[in-house]
Amino acid sequence: MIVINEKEKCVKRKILILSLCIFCITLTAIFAQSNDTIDQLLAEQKATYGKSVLMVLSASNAVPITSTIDAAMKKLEESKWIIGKKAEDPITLGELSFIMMKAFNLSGGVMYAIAPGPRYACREFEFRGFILRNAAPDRSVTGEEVVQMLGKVLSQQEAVK
Amino acid sequence: MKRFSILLSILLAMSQQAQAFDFGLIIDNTTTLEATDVNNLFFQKDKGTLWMNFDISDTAFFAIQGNGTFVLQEPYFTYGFDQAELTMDFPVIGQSSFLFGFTAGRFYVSDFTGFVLTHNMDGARLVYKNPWLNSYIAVGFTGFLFKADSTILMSIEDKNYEPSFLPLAPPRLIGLMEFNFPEVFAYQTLDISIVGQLDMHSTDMVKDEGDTAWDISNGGKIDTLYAGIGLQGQLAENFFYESFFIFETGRTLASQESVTPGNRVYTYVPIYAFMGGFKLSLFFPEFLASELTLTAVGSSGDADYETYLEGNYDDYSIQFSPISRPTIGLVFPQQMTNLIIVELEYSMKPFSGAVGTIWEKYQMLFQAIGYFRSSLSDISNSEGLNSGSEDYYLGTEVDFINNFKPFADLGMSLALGVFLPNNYTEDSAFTPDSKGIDFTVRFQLSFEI
Repeated sequence: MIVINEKEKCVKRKILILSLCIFCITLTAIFAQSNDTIDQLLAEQKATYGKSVLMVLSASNAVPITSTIDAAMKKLEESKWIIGKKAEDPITLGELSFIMMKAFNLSGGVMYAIAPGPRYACREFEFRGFILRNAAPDRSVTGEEVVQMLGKVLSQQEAVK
Repeated sequence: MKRFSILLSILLAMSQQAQAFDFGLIIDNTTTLEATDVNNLFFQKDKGTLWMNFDISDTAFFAIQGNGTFVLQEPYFTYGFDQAELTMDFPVIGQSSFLFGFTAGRFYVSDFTGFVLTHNMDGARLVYKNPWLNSYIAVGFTGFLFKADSTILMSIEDKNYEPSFLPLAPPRLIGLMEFNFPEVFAYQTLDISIVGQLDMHSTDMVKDEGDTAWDISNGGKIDTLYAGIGLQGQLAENFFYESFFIFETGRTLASQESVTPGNRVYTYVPIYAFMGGFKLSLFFPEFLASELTLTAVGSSGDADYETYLEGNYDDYSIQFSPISRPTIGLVFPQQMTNLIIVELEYSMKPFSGAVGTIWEKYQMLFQAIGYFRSSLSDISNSEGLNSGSEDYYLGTEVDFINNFKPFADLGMSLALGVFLPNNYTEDSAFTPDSKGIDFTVRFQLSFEI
């Protein structure tokens, strides 16, 4: 019996080590994928829908962190926040603000409550200090701006908690 | 109406061509109740401001803003254009990055203190910025602005000026040079400013040099130049200071003794005036995000003045005359001429801990302002002033202000103020009969569509 117990312990230890290895490899792959997306996004002079939506929805847990651009775009279509956009389309400041407002369930001003959409989402983001320059809702954004804005939203979410 | 339609068509066409376009309408309502021992005044003003921004390209922008104001009690309606400016930026990014910019049209300018010039003008501005220097040079004219939108009041003619064709602001040609050196030494920021203005009133409308008939209902021209220096920075953790000094020179019309004994003659005399001040701010971020501020600002005055604008009868003037006139105080509004103020202010956000809620944005502010005159002559609002008094102390104002901006598009403010004049004796700055305790309650609501 004692021998069996020791064997069981040995197997359990091996399983645990293997599980840890698999977890680490998976985690590395996830981070690598996430880092790749961030790198690609940072390089974009006009941020595209696909990468921006993937970043926002995965950060808000609306899609899993392992999700792909296609899955994130499908989720966006299903949510009906913004419709008829392709992954390679450039995203505007207003649209990005609106997707973030919806994804993180942020409340807006009086006009946002009456007519929720990119225009008033953009005003709300300017008010909250998430937009660092020109807050015209229909202007394009750089990938760097997407990452900065997302960082600010996450910081505020953390502060609220 | 036709001109408005044409303008609207042009703006719509531009919005189609622009890379990015944004617009908004701000509606402001101000309700004021003033209670003095003379009368009670209820005053309501509604102002609509329409603005449009066009991004023509990555480096070119056009912004236009107009307003209409309706005052219920008078009643009257005024309108005007605050802004119509084309801005072009040319950033150069490399080993020594800098930005060169150009603006033309109607734009807002201010010297670094805000006490000499804070106004719109029509003209051009050149901007140069690098990591060590923010600078600009601007030249403009104020005579095409509407008088209702202007706070320029430097002479009696400025006050009297009423062109028959349009209610325009006093015509003055203004030049401005501003140099800001951020953290130039020991984390201290240096500001240097040179502002000048030339009086462009018609010579037919003002008194001539050599006139002998004393007439205080009209005056002469006033040309001025201001050289300012300021230093600001951090003294200790959460403890900051600002300081500045401005020297004014120029010329103003004075009535001097003529060669014939007993007679007087109008002559232009030089101005040697100054203004200085400091501000100490102590922040308590951990305690309700509060701030304690002590401000002292003084502008020189001249006892040889008949009115606070003109009427000098000496060989020179030491009365400080700012170009535009922002007012200080809620109940006892004064302009920085012949005035010294000492202000103690404490502000806090009682719900600063409620992060992410609308209450986080609520701010309370208490302030006490002590008013003194620099010389024994008039101040800008001299109603009830005892001409025979030799007191410099004028009184103290205490205000309690509540600011609340719960949403991006909605803001409100409720201010309550009381002015306690120095009217204790017949020799005080105000006599007991000439001025009592004044109260003001003001509620402001702002909504943006």
